[in-house]
Amino acid sequence: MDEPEGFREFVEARSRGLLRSAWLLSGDWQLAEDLVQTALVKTWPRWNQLIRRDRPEAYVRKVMLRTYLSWRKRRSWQEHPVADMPEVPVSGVDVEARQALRAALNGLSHRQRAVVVLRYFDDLTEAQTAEALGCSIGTVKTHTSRAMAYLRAVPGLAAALQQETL
Amino acid sequence: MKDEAQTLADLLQRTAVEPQRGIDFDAVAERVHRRRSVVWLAGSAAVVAVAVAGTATLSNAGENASDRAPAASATASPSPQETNAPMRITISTHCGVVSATVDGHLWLADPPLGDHNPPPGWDENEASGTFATTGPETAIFTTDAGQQAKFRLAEPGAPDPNAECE
Repeated sequence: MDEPEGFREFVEARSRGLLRSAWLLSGDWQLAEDLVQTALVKTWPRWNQLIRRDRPEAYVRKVMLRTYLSWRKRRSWQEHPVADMPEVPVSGVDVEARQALRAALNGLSHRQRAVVVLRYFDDLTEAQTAEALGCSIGTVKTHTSRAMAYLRAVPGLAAALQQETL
Repeated sequence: MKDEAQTLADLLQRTAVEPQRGIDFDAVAERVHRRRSVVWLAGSAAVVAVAVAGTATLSNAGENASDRAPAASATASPSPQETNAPMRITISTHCGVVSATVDGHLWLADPPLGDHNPPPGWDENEASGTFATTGPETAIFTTDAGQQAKFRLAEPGAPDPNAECE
């Protein structure tokens, strides 16, 4: 089977960014790698069409998101403890806030978590987030509002979010 | 000065640390090849089975053999994806039987069952059983209890109607 033109370069250039999103979604590097790999496998057959429409990354992210949501529905999905999450040691001035954020993400519903990642990490608009999730903008707003309310109440994170400057 | 959304975005960026390595392209390529091989082998097995059955029929058919030969030949040459081995899956029934994601592909119930609720007699939240393709874009799901639902392969990028089910 022929390798689609430009696909290898895309994987090499963009897979780290995709892995970061996948890690925020799944909370586990191993699952993140599997998510991204699965999304790329599904993208491979459609690559030439996507390149013509100039939006391959948006498609990969959508596939990744929907794969994540479908995996969450399966019984075989298992949450991994927070302690297993980072492969890279956490360091820096806001260690506590980042540790609190990682733990807090696990407390969100899977769709709230997806909305937080899409809106605030991938920087998608409400309309783009709704399209990626296959839901209405109103539903995105509801998930966002509930997620933010939850995050504001998490000890160690509330103060960081309320700061006007970091 | 940062607002809450920007602060959260910055925190997410710093929390999702850049992984040291990206996705190995060759691993993706291997999965693509393996996936296609499985589909091809399943299709080939079905062709062999049909051919054997056809041969047996012909050997027992006596003088009618020549009449039946064309039909047997036509049946024995489906495209590789027309027939596939049944897979065990679990689908959500909580908001009705509306969709199933099988091997990364979204299938839509045709027709949907249950009017946004578990269909009468089905389990309340999910149902396990076998999912067997009956054509390139059609399949039938049979629960362990014997209920059945027909499915049709969704168009690429189609939203999962079950995604709204909480």
